[in-house]
Amino acid sequence: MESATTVSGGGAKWWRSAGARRQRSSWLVWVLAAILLAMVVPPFLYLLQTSFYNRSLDGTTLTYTLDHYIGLFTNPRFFEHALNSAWYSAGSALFAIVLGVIQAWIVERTNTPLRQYVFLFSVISLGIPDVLYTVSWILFFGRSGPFNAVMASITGANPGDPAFFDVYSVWGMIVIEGVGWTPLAFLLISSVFTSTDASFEEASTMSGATVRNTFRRITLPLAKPAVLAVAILIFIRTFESFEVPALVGVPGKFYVLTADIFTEVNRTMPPNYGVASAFALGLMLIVIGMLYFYGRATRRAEQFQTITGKGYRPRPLMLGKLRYATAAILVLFFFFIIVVPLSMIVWTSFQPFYRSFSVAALDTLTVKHYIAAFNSREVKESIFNTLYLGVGASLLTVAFSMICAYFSVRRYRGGWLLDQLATLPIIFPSIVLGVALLRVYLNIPIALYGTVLSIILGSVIRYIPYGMRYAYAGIMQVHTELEEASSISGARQMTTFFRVVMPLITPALVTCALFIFLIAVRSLSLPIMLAGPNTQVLSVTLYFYWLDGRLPVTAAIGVSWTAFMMIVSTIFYIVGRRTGMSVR
Amino acid sequence: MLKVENLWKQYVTEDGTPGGGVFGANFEVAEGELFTLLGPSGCGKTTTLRSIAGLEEPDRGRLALNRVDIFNSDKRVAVPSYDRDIGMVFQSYAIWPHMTVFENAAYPLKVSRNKRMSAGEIRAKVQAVLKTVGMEDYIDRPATQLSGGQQQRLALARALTREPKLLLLDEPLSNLDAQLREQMRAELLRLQRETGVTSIYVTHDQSEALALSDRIAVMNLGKIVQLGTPKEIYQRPTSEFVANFIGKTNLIHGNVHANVGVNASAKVSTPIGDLLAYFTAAIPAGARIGVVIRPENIDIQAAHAAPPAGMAAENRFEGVVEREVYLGEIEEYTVVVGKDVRVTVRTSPGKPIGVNDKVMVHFPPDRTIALIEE
Repeated sequence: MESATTVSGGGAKWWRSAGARRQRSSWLVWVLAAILLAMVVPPFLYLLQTSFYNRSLDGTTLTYTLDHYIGLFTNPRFFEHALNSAWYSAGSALFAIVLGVIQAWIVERTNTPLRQYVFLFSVISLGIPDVLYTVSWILFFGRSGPFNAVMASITGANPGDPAFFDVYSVWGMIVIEGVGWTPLAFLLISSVFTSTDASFEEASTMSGATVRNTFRRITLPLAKPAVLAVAILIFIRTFESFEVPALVGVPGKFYVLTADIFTEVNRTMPPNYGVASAFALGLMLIVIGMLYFYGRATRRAEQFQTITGKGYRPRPLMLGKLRYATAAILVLFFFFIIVVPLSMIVWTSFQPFYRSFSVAALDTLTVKHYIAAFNSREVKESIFNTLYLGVGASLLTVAFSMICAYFSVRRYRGGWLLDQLATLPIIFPSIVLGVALLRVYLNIPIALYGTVLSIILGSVIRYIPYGMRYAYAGIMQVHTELEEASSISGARQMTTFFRVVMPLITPALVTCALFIFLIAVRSLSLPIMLAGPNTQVLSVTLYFYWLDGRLPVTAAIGVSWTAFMMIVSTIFYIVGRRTGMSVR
Repeated sequence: MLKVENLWKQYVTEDGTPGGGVFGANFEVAEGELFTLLGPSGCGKTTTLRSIAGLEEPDRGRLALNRVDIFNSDKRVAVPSYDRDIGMVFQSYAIWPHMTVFENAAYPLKVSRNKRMSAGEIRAKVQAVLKTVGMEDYIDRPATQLSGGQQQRLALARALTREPKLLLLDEPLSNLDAQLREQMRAELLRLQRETGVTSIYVTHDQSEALALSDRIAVMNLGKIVQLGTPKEIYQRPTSEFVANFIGKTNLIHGNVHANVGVNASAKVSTPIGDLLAYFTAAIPAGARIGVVIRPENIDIQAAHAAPPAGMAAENRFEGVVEREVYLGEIEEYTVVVGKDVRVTVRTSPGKPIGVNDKVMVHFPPDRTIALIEE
C-alpha cells in the first residue's frame, strides 16, 4: 500500500524515499540538543544583557542603558581598533599563506630532498604553547636580541641608534602571528594539492598546453578557492587571537579589539563588563560576517575537489640541481618554525638573568631556574591544573561530539539540529566566550566561578565544533551495513554501538582527543578570563611571570612543558598518519 | 600510423618491490582504426595508453606517430605530451570546474602554439564540435552543472576540437550507469566513424571491446597475449586466458598423440572420448591440451531425436541434463557427459528438454578450439 505509491515515484529512487520515511528517532537526540542549547544560549544572552545594563557601584541594581553602544559609535576607539585588527589579521594571513603555499608546493609537487619531514615538524610545532612561542620571538627580534645584533653589525649602526626592527609594532605582530600560522597553512594547502584530481592537469597537457600554461590556467585557478578559504580562516582566527595582541600589541601601543576586551575586564577596576560586552558583540558580529564568506569559499573549493577515477599521483616536477635550493628553503622553514623559538627559550632558561647569545655567557650556564620552577608550589599546581584541563576537555568533547555525530550521520530525527548546534560555538572568539562565561558563572547559584571545571566547560564549548568534524568524518567511514549486520545477528542498538561502531572509530577519536588536548592547553585567551587565583593553568602562569619580568623562570617552565607537549604532538602525528586524519 | 615497439615500463611500489607495468608491448595501429586494449585491472593497458600520451615515461622502447618518433629510449627522444598532438578522454572526464562548457572545449585551441586562431574561428569551431556531440545547447553553462553523461560528451568534444592525430580513450564509459553506457557506446562508434580519427580505447569490459573495436589487443600481466579482430578473438582464442576472459567457455582437458600444425584440425583424446578440434597454434605430440568450446556453439537435442541433416558425425556425445536455468532470451543446460565431465550449453529457449533427460550434444569441429594447457 505504502510501497505502491512510492514505487510509482519511478526509477531506482523509490527505496530512498522509503528509507527517508522510516526515519529513526531517539529521545537521546533531544536531550543532547537541550545540553547544546544550554551551552550556547546562556553565554550569548548574558553577554547581550550585560551590554545593555549598567550596574550601580555597590553592584545591587541594574539600570537599562544604551551607553555602551553609543560609546561604540561616538568614541573612535572601536572602529580604529577594529581597523587595527583587520590590518594585523590581513597581514598575518597573507604572510602565512605565502609561506604555506611555497612549502606545500615544494613538498607536494617537486622532488626536493627532505620534503617528507615537513609534515612532522609542522605538526610538532603545535606543541609549543602560544605564550611561550610569542615570548621567544620577542626575544629573537628584541632590541638586544640576535636579529637586531646581526643587522646592526651589517649596517654598522652604533649602540645608541634605534633598533633595525622594532618588534613592538604591527610588523612585529604580523611576523610573529604569521609564522605561527604557517604550519597550519601548509597542512591545509598541501591537502588541497593532494585532493585535486591529477587528471585536471593531465587533460591540459593533452590539450597542448605547456607546463607553465597549465600551472597558470589550471593549477592556480583550481587551487584559488581553497587557498582563499584557508586565507579567510587564518584571517578570522587571527582576528580572534589574543596572545600576540596582548604580549606584543599592548606594549607596542598597537591595540586591537581582543586586547580591548581583556583590558576592560581584567585591567580596569572595577571591571567594565558593559563596555567589554558591547565590544565582544561587535567582534562577534564581524566574525559571523567573515564566517559567511568562509562558508562560501569552502563550498566553492569543494566543487573543485571531486576526486574521481583512479587517482594517479601526479609526477613530481624534476628540479635537477635546483632541488638543493628548495631543500635549503625547507631547512630555513624548519629553522624559523622550530629552531629559533626553541633555542631562544632554551638559552634563556639556562642563564642566571636574561642576556643575549654570546660565548662569554656560556660560562654562566645554570640549572637553578629549573630547580626553582619545580620546587614552586604554584608551578606544580598549575601543571596539574593544565593536565586536568587538557584531559578533561578532550575526553568530554570527544565523548559528546561522538554521540552527536552518530545521530547526525545516521540521520536520526533531529540529527541535523545536533550538527548545527554543535557547530554554532565557532561564532564565539575565545576571548568573547571567556567574557560571556564569566558573566554566566558570576550569575548562577552553582559555584563554578574560578574553578578548573569552569575552564574545562568553556573549552568543551569552544572546541566542540572541531570534535564534531573529526567524529563526523570517523563515523562516515563506518558503512551502515556493518551496523545492520550486527542488528541482524541479534545485537541491540546499544550493543551494536559499543561493539561495532566504537572500535571502528576509536582511531579517529584518539586523533581528535590528542588534537583537542594540544589546542586546549596551549591557548591563553579562554583560561585567562576564567582562571581564579588558585586555579591558574600554565599558559596563564607563563603570561604573568613574563609580565613580572621573571624571564628565565618563565623559560625554564616553558622548556619543560614544551618537551612534554612535543611528545604529545609526535604521538598525534603518528596516530593521525595511521588513521589518515590530519589537522583541520 | 602509430607504432609501438618493445614498450617496457616497470613500476616499483613504495617498499621497493616490483609492481605491475608493461613488459615488451608491440603493436601497430592503422589510420582511422579503432584499436582496443582489453584486459583485467593491473594488466598494463592503462600504462600503455599513458605512455603513448606521454603522461608516463617508459623505461625503454619506441613510439612513433606517423613515422616520427615521439618516444625512443635509444635515441633519447621524449616529446612532451603537449607537443604530441594527441587527444585524450580521461576516465574521470577531468572537466575543469572553473570553466564553462565553451571554455573547456575551446581550451586546446587557445593554448595551442602552432595553430593560432581568431576568437571568431575558435567560436565557430567549438560550436561545430559541440554540435556533433549534441552539446550545442549547453555552450555557456558552467561545467559544475553538467550530468555525468554531459561531462562525458564534453570530454569527447574537448579531445576532438583541435583534430588530433590520435584519440586516446581511458575507460570512458566506466563511470556511467548501464543504460547510458549502451547509448554512449553507440554514439562513440558513430563519432569515430564520422570523424575518422584513429583511436585507442582502453577497457576491461569485453562486450564493450567486441562491440566497438576494429581490432583488439588482449593484455595480461603486462603482455599482449592475443591481437586480432573481435571475431578472431572470440572464436579462435589462442590461450585459455583469452578464452575465459572473453565470454563464458567450457574447458575439457586432453592430449594429442601427433604433432599438429597451426590452423589445422586433429583429434584430441579426452575423458569423454576423441574430439576433433581446431588448433590455433602448432602443438607437439604428447602435449597437454585444453579444449575450449563456447556454450552457445554446442548443439543439443533429445537423445532419441534424429540428428539434423548435414551434422558431422564426429564429436557427438550422449549425456544427461543435470540442471536447467532459464535466462529469458536463452536457456542454459548443464549436461553431464561421460563419467563426470560437465558441459554448459546455451540454446534458444523452448526445446522440449528437461532435467534428467538423456540428450545428445554435438561440438562443431571448427568451433572446438585446442590450446596448450597453461
